[in-house]
Amino acid sequence: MGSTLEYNDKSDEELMALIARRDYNAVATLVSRHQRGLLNLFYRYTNDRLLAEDLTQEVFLRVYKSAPLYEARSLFKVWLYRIAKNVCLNELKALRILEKLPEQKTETESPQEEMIRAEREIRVRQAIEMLPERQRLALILRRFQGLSQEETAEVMETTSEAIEGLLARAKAKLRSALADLQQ
Amino acid sequence: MECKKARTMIEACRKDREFAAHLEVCADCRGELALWDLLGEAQGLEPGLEFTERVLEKVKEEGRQTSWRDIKDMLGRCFIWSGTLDEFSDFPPDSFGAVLFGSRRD
Repeated sequence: MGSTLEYNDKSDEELMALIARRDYNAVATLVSRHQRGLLNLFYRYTNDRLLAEDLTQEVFLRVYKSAPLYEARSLFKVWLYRIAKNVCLNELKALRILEKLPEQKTETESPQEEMIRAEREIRVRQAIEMLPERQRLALILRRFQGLSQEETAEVMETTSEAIEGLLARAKAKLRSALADLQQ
Repeated sequence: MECKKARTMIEACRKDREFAAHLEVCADCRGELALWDLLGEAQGLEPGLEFTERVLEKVKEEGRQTSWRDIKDMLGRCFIWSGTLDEFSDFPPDSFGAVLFGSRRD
């Protein structure tokens, strides 16, 4: 096993092959590469930091467990987000997601600016949270995770046209909910 | 450029000249881009070092449990095999021999 620095040049697929052999440096590299994306996917989906952290951890555990069976048939990112999608759509149903206030603050803002920004942010978060599950997930994957429409369709195991429909409905709802902020 | 294309490529096209030209004449797509930007106000989180370490520790714990499960499975299989071999240790059973060769008591 080498240092984690050596692993930075490796592709996700190469790391998965190493993880299948229980190489923890490969796990560490994969976690540091994808934790931010997953954490923010879950955070935007649930609006709850602690829950988002637990769910991110759950995804990495699943990645580790399924590494010996992993086959690079599609982009690793698509495979990873598909696991996250299953967590979002199947396992969160039983949980009641409580409304949480955003925790991040920008240091350079005056208290008044900070308050206005925080209020806008709460509104945006609440509007996203109000969307039906599949619309919300499609929107987050497209807007925040940088996935293309085709990749989003692959993650959600549907067609590109279906994603287009989900996004159109999500945006119509958001436009209506956030109309005053857009002026 | 059509609206449909512009909207599917809204992020990638942001600096694209054709897209910029389309925006100038299309209020709908300008609204689309404004909404896209507004959503960006829902800021993300930065995972702390502590979180990363917690995830890695959990994965290692899972690895240890998996190894122990593997050993238990292997031992379980060994016991099953040894039990099966025991069944054959008195082969052929008396009754089997009696059927084949008949009972010879004389």
